[in-house]
Amino acid sequence: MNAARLTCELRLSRGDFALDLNLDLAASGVTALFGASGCGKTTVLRSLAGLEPTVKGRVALDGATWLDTGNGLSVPTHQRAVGYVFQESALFPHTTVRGNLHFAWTRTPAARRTLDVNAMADRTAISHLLDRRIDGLSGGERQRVAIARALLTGPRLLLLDEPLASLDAAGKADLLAFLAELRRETDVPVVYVTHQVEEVARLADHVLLMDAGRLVDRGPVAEMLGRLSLHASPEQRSLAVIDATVSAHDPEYGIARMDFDGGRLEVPLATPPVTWEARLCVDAANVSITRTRAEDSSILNRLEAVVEAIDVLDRGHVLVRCRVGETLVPALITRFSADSLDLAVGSPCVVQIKAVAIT
Amino acid sequence: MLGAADLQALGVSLLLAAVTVIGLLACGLPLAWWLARRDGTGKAWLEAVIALPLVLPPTVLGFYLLLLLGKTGPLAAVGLPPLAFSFGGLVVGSMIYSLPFVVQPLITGFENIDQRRLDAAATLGAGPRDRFFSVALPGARSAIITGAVLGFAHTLGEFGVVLMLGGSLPGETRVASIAIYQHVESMDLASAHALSAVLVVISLVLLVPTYILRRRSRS
Repeated sequence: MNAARLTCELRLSRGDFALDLNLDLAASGVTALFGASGCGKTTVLRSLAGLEPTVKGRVALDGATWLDTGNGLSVPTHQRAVGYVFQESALFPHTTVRGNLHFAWTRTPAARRTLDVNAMADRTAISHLLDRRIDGLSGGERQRVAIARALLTGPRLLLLDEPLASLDAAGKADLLAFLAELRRETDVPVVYVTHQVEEVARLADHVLLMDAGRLVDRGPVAEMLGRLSLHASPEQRSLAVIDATVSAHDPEYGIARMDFDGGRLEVPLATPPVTWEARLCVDAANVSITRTRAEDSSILNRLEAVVEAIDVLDRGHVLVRCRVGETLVPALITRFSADSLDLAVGSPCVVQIKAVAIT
Repeated sequence: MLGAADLQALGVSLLLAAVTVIGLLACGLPLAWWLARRDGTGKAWLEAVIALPLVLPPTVLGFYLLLLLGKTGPLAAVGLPPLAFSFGGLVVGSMIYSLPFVVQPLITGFENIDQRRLDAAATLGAGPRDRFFSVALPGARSAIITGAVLGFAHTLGEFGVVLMLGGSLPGETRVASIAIYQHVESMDLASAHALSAVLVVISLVLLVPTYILRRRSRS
C-alpha cells in the first residue's frame, strides 16, 4: 500500500469566517470533504493548491513541504504537483480542447508526464472533442476536459471542487459514472469537495466532515454515511454503500450475483460487468424490514441483519440502521411500522432491498 | 486633390499614430494588468491620473510638456536631448494625450477575465509571466484591439498638444490636423475639405470594424 500522507494545519480568518483545521490523512483513494456551503471546504482546497495567499500554517504531501509559514516557506501554485478542477470548468475559451490539454502538457516537467494529450483524451473518452472550441461543449463535456487537463500534469494530489455542481441531472449522472470509473483506474489521491451524500456514497473511501471552518468528524465512508445525513439537506436520503464482488452473471434474466461480507445480492444488470469489483449504493427508502423471512416476495434480496440504531426523523418516519455482516444498511420506514414490528436496538431482522444502483 | 505637402502631413500623422499606439501598448499592457488586479485608494489615484488627459484642455498638456521637454526644461538639464519641436516630442505628447483611450479599455478587459482561469493556469504549471502572456493577453484580445484602435484614431485627430509642442516642421511635426488648420487660415477650403474627408474616412474604416468586433465578442 501507498504510505504517502497528506498533513496540513491551516488557519485563516476573513471577516467573521475563521478556518482552523488540522489534518493528517493517507494520501490514497478519494477523500470527501463534506459540509454545508460556507463551511470552508473550498477554502481548504484552495489552500492546498496555494491559491489562498493569506492562509497560515503547514502543508506537506509525502515529504514535500508546500507551505510552512512559520519558516517563511510558500511554494507557489505553479510549482506544486497539484491538479485542480473547479466548480464550473475554468477552461481557456480562446483555444480548442486540444489547445487546453496541450497547455497542461507543455508545462509539465518530463519526470511527471504519464499519458500524452492523445492518450489522455482516449482514456477520458474525449478524443472526439479534441478539435472543438470550448463554447461548443456541454457542461459535462467541459468537466471531463477539465479533469483530463488536470490529470495530464501528473499531479500527486487531485483536488475536485464540487465538479457536478453546475450540471443538469443527466450530466450529473454521466459524470458521476465517469468519476467512479476514474476512481478505479487511477491511483492519484483525490480530495473531493461536495455537499451531496450521493456523491460521497459513490466515490469516497474516507470522509471528512467540516462545519464553520473546523473539522468535526472523520472516518471511513461506510461508517460516516449515517452521520452525514444529519448534516445534509432534508431531501437527501440516507444511503448504504456496499463494496461487493461479482460472482456470476445470468444473461438470460439479466441478473448479476454479487457477494459482500453480509451475504449475496442479486442485482439487475443487462450486460456482464466490466470489472469484478463493484460499489453498490442503496437508498434507505428502498430498504424495508421484516421480522421473518418472507419467501414469497417479489423482492429478491433478503439479508439477515441486526438493528443497531433507530433515529426518529419526524413524527411519521424513522431511519433504522441495520448491520448486515460488517456493512451498515439504513432503512427509511414509518414509525408506525417500526412500532408494529416491535423493533428495538439489538433486534434480529431481515432487510429487503428493492432496488440497487451500481457504480 | 491632395498635394505633396498634404500627403506628407498625412504620412506624419499615420506614423505618429502607429508609433504612439505601439509605445502605449508596451507601457499600457503591464500597467493595466497591474492595476486590474489591485484595489484601494492607490489604484483610484492612479486611475484618476490616467484619466486626466480626458478632461484637461490639450493646450494645458502641451504647455506643461513644452516646459518639461524644452531646451531649458528639467530633462535637458539632466543631459537628455530636448524633444520639443521634434517628432520624438510629438510621440511623448501623443502617448500622454491618448493614454486613457488605450489604458482604460485594457483595465476593463483584464478585470473581466475570470480569475478561475488564471488560477487554473497556475495549477497547470504556468508562472506569473506565463499566465500574463498565455491567459490574460488572449483573454483580453478584443479589449486590446479596441484600445489600440481608439488610441490610433485619437492620435490622428490630435491638434492642441501638437500645436503647443510641435510647431509645424514639414516631414517632422506638421501633421494632418495642423495642415487642415493652416489651409483654413489661408482660405484654401478645397484642400481643407480633401484632407478632412480623408481623416473622416480613415477614422470610420478603423472604428466600424472595431465596434462590430466588440459587439460580437460580447454576445
